Amino acid sequence: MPGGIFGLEIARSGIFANQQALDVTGQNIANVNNEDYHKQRVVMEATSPLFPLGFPGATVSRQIGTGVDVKMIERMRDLFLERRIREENEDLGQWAKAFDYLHQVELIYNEPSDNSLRARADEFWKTLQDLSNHPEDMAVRAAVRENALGLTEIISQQAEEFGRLGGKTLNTAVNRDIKIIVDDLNGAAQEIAQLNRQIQVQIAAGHKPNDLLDQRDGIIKRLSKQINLQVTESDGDDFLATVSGLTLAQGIYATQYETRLKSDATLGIYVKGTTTELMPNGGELKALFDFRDTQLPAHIRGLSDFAVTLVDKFNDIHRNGFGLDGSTNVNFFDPFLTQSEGIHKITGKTFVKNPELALNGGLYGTVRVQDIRGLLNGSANFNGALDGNSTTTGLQTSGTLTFNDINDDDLDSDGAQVLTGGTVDLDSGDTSTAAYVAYDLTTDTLEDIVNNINRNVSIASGVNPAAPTLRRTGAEAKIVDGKLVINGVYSMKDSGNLLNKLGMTPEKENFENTTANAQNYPTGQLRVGKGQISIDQYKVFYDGNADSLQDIVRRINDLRIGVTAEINAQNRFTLRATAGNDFKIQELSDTGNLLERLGVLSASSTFESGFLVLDSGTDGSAGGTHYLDSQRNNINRGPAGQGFLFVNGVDIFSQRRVGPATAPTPTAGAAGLVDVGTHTYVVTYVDSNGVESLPGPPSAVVTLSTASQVSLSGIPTGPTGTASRKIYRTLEGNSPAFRLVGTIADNTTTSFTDNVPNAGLGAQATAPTLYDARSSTGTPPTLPGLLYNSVQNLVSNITLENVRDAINASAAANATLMSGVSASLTEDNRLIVNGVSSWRDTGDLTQVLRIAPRSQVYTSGDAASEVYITGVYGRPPVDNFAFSIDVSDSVKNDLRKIAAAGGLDQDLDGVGNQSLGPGNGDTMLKLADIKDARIMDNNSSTMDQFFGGLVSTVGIDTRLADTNQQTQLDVLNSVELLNKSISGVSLDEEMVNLMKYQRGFQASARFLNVTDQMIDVLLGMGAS
Amino acid sequence: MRIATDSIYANVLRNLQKNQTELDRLNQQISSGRLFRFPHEEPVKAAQSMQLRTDILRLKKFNDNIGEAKGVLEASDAALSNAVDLLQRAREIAIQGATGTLTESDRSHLALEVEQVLEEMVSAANSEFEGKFIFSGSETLNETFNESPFVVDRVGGHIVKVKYKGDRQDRLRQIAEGKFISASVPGNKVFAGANQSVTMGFTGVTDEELALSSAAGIPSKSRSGYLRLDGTLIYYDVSRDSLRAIADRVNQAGIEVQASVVTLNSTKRLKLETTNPHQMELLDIDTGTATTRVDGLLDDLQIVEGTAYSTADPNQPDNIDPTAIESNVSVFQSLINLRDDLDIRIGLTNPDFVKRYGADTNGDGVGDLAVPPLSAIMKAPLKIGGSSLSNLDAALDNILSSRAVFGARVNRLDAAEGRNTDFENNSTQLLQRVEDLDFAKALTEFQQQQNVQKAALATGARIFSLTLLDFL
Repeated sequence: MPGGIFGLEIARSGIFANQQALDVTGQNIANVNNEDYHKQRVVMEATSPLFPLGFPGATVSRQIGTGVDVKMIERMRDLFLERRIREENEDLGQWAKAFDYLHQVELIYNEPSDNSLRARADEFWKTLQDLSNHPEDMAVRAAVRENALGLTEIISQQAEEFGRLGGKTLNTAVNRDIKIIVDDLNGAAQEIAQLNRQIQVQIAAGHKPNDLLDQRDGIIKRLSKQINLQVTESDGDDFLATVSGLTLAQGIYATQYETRLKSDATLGIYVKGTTTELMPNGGELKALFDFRDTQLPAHIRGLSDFAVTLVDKFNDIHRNGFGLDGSTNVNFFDPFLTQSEGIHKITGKTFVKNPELALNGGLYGTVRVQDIRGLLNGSANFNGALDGNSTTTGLQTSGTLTFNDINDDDLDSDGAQVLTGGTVDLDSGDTSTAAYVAYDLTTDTLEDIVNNINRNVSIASGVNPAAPTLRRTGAEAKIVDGKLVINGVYSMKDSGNLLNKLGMTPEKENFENTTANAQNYPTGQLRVGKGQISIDQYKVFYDGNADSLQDIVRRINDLRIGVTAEINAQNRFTLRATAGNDFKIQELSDTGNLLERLGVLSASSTFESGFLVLDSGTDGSAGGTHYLDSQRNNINRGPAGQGFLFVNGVDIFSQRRVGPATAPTPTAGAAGLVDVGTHTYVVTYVDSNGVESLPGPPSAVVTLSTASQVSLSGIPTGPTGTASRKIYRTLEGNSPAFRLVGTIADNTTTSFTDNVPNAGLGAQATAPTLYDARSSTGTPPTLPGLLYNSVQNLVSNITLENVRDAINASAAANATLMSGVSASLTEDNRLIVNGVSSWRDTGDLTQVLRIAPRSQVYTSGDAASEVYITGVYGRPPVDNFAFSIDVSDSVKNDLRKIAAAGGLDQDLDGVGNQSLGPGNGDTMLKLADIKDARIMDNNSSTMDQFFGGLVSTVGIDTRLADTNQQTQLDVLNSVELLNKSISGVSLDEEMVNLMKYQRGFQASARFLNVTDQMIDVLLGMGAS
Repeated sequence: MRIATDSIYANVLRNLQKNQTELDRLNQQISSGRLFRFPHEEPVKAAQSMQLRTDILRLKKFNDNIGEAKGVLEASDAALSNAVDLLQRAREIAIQGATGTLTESDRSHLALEVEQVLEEMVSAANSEFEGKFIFSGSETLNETFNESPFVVDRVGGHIVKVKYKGDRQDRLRQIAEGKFISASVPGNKVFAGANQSVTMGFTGVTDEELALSSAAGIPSKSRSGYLRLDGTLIYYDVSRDSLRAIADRVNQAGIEVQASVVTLNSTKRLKLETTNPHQMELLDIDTGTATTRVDGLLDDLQIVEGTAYSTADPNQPDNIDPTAIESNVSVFQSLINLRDDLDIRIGLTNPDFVKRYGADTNGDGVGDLAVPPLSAIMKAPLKIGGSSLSNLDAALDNILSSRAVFGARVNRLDAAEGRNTDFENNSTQLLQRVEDLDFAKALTEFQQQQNVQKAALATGARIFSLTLLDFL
């Protein structure tokens, strides 16, 4: 039987437990408005009986417990729901941020309103119409200029606003946001680590640090909005929070992040001090990255595409028109070609007279033959059938058509044209002969003649007795609407007068494609075979006999590869890369000769991105410096041999300027001191800084049989800035050791007398390697310099780093010539050279690096470089074109320069020579018509539609973000509600608890009282 | 389910805010009358509305163009109507003058009146509209001509020649997408009268089938080049082309000129004749460089005179070689002829008159003696009722047909204007449908939303006041 004291103990535990429960209730009530607070609950447990069963002396009556104990104060939470909240929060953060930014883009477009880019463009197009109506009116011209300025302003303003939002500079709204979030992340990581430390201490001390846990959960919930956050939770050391797969905090350790520029010049997030990059895959950060790297660039590019196309198309037509003052070839907008915008555009040099007709020269009959199967002569049929003015008499009965200058290689690439039974292999390069088609009008019909031409077989019995063989004519004949048409003709003779009577050739005469007679050709003289153009690996087939340029353009555009083809205002073939292809043409080649004939590529060269491209001069903008980017990163990958490389006229491997191009002439003179033997001379230039150029080519050898003087004449003079010249001589003959003879202290004298014995000669010339190289090959190089050589087993083997260092060292040594030139290697080891104005390579280094084609010499404004590409590859990135769009100065300063009138093309080269008059508005009408032309999106939509597309894209994106944001908010709320139902504080509930625990307390106290009285009674008994 | 206290507050608050947002949206819609403010509210409609606004502006512009074109055409028509009146008056005079009973002084009075008509006609041809000449092609500005597109040569105060200095361009106006209409007829057409014909003066060609280089007197025998006829370039090669070949090429060029080879005094001559009354443009074009220049073919054939290859021959189109046989009875020429025939004394001061009545020694129908015999001159009055009258009729016909062209164009313009207006109206309606708010619907929604908001506020207030605390 337990004693009375035991009861007191039970009462005490009851009082304590309920009191603690009351405290917890109070805490709950107090924290009713604390967001992070988890409701706490006291878990009570009856204490064990004093004598458990089995204990000696244990009886049933002793199984009664010893009171109550507060086992723990529990935080009410549901881990599953909390994880869901984090997930939903993350999505909400992402969509809300996306909405914020996309909405900004919407606001920049400012649609629908009357003050938007579209509205300004409408105004601009409208005034163009006005000008076409009143081309001579200065007021209308002024309106055109003002509206053009209005349009360019709003385009560049929008580009600027896009740029501020999230362009390629550091200080953009997006980047600022990213930095703030990263700072926040870092702070939070430290806070969590700190809390973890305290939590560990508390737990180690046996406490349950609910308040600290609440704080930690609060931080995590806040962070989950910003980034994808995973928490592996256990209360102790193992607590691990990761962000997008990287650790944020583990136990007491926090990871710190920093923002840094990535190699593509965008801001990236890295673990501090490492190259481990954080790629956010959720939350606000993801929205920011997506917006910056995907969504916004589409608009920046779109705007640039819009601007580029506008400027390009507009200038193209405008240049062909005539101003009020008779001016022509004026750009309306500043062209992008001069601004290193990095847009690839290639325009051929060849004028194609009629893009609608088959490319190869063809002969077109004008006289219709009614019955092509009837005999041509001796029948009333032919006589009666000749139309109009041609006489029906005088037709000779027979003759031979001679197809001259058959060049098989041009016409087919199938390589299988050996005629059975014949003797001629047509692909053997037999180009000097002719093919004959004989006709006899007493037996032949027109159809027979067509068949004979097409059969590629002609037997010229008696016509060419020397070689009565089979040959193909290379031509293709057909009858169109009763008229004879022969395509693929290069030159042709008719010994009779059939073709003349059919209205095909002038008079009884031959048809030859010489330069003088070229205009005889109805369609031009391209002479194009079959082949395949390859643009960025997409192939387009062509056949010069069958296809017109128009057909080929259509075929290219049908590919929809982001490179559009067109026939420009001057009937020249043009390829232009659009935003769809990153404004670049990576590769362009041709298995046949079309691109060569069109003047796009030079023979047997292919275009690859990274070509050095200098200004074409077609837009009047020759000159300037250029940015080069090689596409290859390894010299030894290609067959680079040896050569000299000159940048801006400096041999980069010897770091010195190009020396004289000519050699002096040595003549033996009067008796003197120069030793007996053979001698060679070279000359160098020295500038005022004492920098010596490379030696010029060695002179002729002078042979002395007695010691004499040697007179040098024709000593070359140096470029401006040359202070003196040095003359070197070999000891004897071709000895590589050139030694200083003397110095001419001016830049004018052209003769010099050498009277120095070998013993008196000065130092050896400083570039002896040149002559080593020469003597080893036996041929003196025409351009002296230091040979580079990339072949492994030779001494002067070079690496890409050598090239870079050589260029930079040369630039340092030649501040004037190479001002602004610098070379660097990219992360992927491509060579980049800035500030180049001329580039000359006698070997193929530049080709191997895919900077320029083989052995080409480029000089700014050089017509030869125009053959390649009339574009510029360079920086700043093309996205910035919209920034800098502007009306050209010529138009800004002189309204008369606005070309409204069309021109008359008098020399048939596609370019007008004379204005059609001040009242003519042809060009302006064409310009106004650009608005309706499908020139955007691979020639599938108009500019209006394209711009509308941009706006509706952002509209749809924003709407999606908005809808998702709303949905996410609702989902989050319902999950939160669920979570609150577990961890939230309900005041009513707490009030009930308050009363409950109060009652418990009171009852325990009463029990104490009763027990006390019981003890009293017992004690009283003893006393009495 | 357990409801936490702050959940109640948060829920009420959130719902109130939602309602408030919706109310704000509806309020914005109603107060602006627009269905949407930002593209994201109605992305498809936003794109539609952009296109429609552009379209409407454009159609308006087309109609502006049409209005202007009509203005010009009406002004042209007015000028031509004046010209028709003048020609009719001249015709009456001619009929009157043809009467045999008139005395010489009667006729010279009539001649004075014709002179007046002629002066009037020139000023009608030089009419301006909005400061620009109407009948001058694209040479609309004064500075091009120093004075006006039609300039006159006078001898003794009498007009003996009227020259056209404008060009042959049409002035195009855009009236719909891809549709253009000319708002002018160049002066070389309107005042052309009858068809112009020019026969070459060169007499060295005897075989029309042989290459020209075989003809005696052709200066350079290996020359090829282009001549320009009414703006079309025609290629020739003297060493290969016969007269016939050149004629064929002209005929195949698709221009309103017909070429033929005629025989005159047993020499072969190239004859160029318009198929529709207008003054031809005849130019030699130089495609060579300054050093390789040789005379042009037209000059060699004595069709045109002088400034070879000049693309801007100042005499053009009055650059016909004096030895060429030209028949060019323009409106002005027929009036001049009438006047000269009426008053021979004036006529004798006019070199053309002399030419017309000179003896025709080579049988080509045109006088070629410098001083015509008196007997021929005395026939002049007899021509008044004949060729003069028929020339006037031809001129009248030509002007009337130009007026008919103007009328037809105005009709086309009207039709286009109507179509544009229809499109514009449709587009405007569509734009309203796309952009504008359905007020009834919006107001109803607003009302509904208001009710929801009221209810939410009321229940919120009730819920907040319910707490156990009140009962303890």
